[in-house]
Amino acid sequence: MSVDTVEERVRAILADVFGLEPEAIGPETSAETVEGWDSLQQLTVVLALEEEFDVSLDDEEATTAVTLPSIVTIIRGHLED
Amino acid sequence: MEGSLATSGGEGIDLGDAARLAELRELFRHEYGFFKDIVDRGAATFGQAWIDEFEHTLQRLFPSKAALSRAAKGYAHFVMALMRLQKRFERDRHYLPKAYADAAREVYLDDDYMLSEYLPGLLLSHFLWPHHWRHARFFDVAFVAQMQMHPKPSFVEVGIGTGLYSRRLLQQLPSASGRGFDLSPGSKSFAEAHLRAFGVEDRYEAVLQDVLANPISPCEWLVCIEVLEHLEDPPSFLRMLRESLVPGGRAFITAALNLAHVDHIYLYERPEDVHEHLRSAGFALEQAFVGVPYPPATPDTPVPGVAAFVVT
Repeated sequence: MSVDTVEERVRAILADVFGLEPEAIGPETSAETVEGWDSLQQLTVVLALEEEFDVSLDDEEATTAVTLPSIVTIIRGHLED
Repeated sequence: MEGSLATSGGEGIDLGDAARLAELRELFRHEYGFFKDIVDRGAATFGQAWIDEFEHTLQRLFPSKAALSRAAKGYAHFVMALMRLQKRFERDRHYLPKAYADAAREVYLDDDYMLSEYLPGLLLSHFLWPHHWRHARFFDVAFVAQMQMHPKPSFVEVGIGTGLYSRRLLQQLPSASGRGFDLSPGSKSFAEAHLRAFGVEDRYEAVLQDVLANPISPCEWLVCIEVLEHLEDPPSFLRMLRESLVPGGRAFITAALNLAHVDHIYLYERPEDVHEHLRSAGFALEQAFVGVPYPPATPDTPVPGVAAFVVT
């Protein structure tokens, strides 16, 4: 799977969870800057990622998947395993 | 007293001189952005008393930036693991089946897990979860205030966890002394360090003992915070506690409600269920408190909470 495809699918998940346009989600998009990205939504993002990519994030990954680039890196790491 | 504080521009609530708390807020914002508002929310809801006690606790227990960073990480992992289980619980309406012996092996006897995640997570939750903070204040008003009326009160805490409640008791009552029991070596060492950091260790003995196997000696003041849900058979445990309370004695006993966790075995759905177990064990109700952290997403969604009782 190409990096672009992974990134596009992650963008789609974040857009869906936070009610944003996919184009509005960029490298600077993070839990720190997006209103409403709280711990409950973090879990929603993690569960959506796990379902979309058929992966299982450990506690470290589940708590550091807080920016678009970090999420893409984590997912790519799983897909390359 | 609960109260509100003003914000200072885009930086959030003005935390005044609370430098460690401000540092924790920055850690949350930059490392775990989904907690970006949690410190401000606590400060805005509970006011200066919350800021002062939280700051004091952070200064004493996590004096370095590295220690505070480890605690923040432990809390983040603790909460995320718990929320995953809670999500499953909301769907299935039962805790994952687990034997007490397995919970002991996987959790209480795992020093690394206890010291890096479980205990820091639990400790911070008593400030960051509104129902835990209110529960601590109820402890002060309903229980510690009564002990204050007695000269040199001696207490026992069963399940000392982080040592938070024993420490708060010793700190507020300079003539008090106590003993605390826990089966977890990690818990014992964390609690001992906690009490040392507050200079109250001379009036306390932490004992490594599974009270299910070796019941405690008679006592006048008894504290047992959120232990019942960790047991397979809370009623028999409560009967043992009741038998250990001397005539005229008083106990502060609490339980978590509807909160799935790696070591939660017995599901209490309603405060009345805990009260019924207390009553059946021979305790008489004196005061009670029930708290939840947030309203249910739907009327049928179970909300985690805590039920606390002062009983005689």
